[in-house]
Amino acid sequence: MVKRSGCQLPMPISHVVLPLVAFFFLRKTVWRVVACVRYICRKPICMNWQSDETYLKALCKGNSLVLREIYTRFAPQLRSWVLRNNGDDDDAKDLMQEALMAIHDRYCGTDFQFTGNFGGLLMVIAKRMWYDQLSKKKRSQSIRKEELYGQLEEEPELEAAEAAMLEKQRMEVLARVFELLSEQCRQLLTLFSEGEKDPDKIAAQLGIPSANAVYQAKHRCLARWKKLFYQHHKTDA
Amino acid sequence: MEATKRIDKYLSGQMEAEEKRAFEQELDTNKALAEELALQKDMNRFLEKRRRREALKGELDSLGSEYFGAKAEQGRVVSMVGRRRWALGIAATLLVLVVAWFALRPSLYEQYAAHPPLALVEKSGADALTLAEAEQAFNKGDYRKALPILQEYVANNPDDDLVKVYLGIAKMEIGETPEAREIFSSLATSNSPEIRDFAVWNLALSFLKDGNKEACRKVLQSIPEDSGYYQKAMDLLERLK
Repeated sequence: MVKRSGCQLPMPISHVVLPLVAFFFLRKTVWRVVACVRYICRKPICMNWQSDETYLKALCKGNSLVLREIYTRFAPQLRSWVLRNNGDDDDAKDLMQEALMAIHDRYCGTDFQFTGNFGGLLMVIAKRMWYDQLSKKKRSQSIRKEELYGQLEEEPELEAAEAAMLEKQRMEVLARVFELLSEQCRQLLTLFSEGEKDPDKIAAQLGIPSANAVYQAKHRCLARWKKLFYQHHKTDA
Repeated sequence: MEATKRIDKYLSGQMEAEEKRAFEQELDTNKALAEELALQKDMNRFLEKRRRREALKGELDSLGSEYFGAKAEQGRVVSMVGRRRWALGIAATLLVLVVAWFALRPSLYEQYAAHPPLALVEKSGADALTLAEAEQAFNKGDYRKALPILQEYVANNPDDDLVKVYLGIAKMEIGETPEAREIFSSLATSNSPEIRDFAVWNLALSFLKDGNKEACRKVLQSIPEDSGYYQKAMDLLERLK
């Protein structure tokens, strides 16, 4: 008491309010420290990067740690490129996601062999997509398409990138028009895709009179789906 | 419809060898058929991958919000990351509170060591200026400054027991508790009840300051009911339990 007699504050102020006020004013610094620690934790200082095959496998089968590494390794590069080219963080985030989805759609569950450089392919797809968006938004009316793509032409991954983008577009149109099918069609096709081989079971489950009618329904649904796809794919292109 | 049926049969492996060979031959020449086959393959793949594709999209979305940081900082999105931020904030505040509680909480000794002010000047006219200085220093808590003057005063006035207690307090405050205890002990048998109670009380405090709770408790228990420090002593005993 004697020691502190000069500036003794009532208990609730010194013990509750002051720390709160201090935290309020220092919260930016606190976040910065937290971000710094997280950045250091995320940066694998003594870790070797995974191989391209591992990245691809993580996309196809799922592996959070490896997906995280993909972001750690390539996100900063993509982000700075997008920021230099009239984009913001949101654009970079979307491009990263779309490009990874394109790689997934092209190489997961298909016969296409992945050759070459994962990071290179990712960057080329993202750049290509961004140029497409720019020319669509007409933000760069004065720039001709050839000029936009000019710097990409020398990239060895360009062909693979374009194929991946096409595949992704196909998948997205398929997804979109799948939702336009009838509830029964969607259930039926899903059941088949889940490996249900017995048409009688499917018939019973969906209330279809016979096994034969199940096949007929399946083909009808597939044909309708295809037709919808062609309609929408053309208008997209 | 017919083509769809044939392709589906082909893709689900239900064609006979003969039919299959014919179909594959036709593919070489019939471009439209080959194109439809590719589409139906994609359709099958879409059905198989639908769940995985959606899961991947969701996962990439949350990873993206985490790695392309500006979004979270601007606070536009209340995502999992944002919520975690809040939880982190609350946890940090609690931590700060706990740390502050322990750092700022006065010790038991500090709570009870409210020494009555020293009043030397009234005692003697001699050397009033230095004594006033000592008094001021003591009452402000600057015991190091007060100590030598008090020592000198006690040397000159060996009978002034009250000031001896104050000298003990000054020693106790600067950490010389054994010397302080010597003084308090010698005065604990004083004839003046006022001096005795004051000395005993400070003896208890000196043990408290050293963290010797057992000794402190014993001294406190020895304080009689008629002592002016009895109530304080009981309080402190209660808190020492």
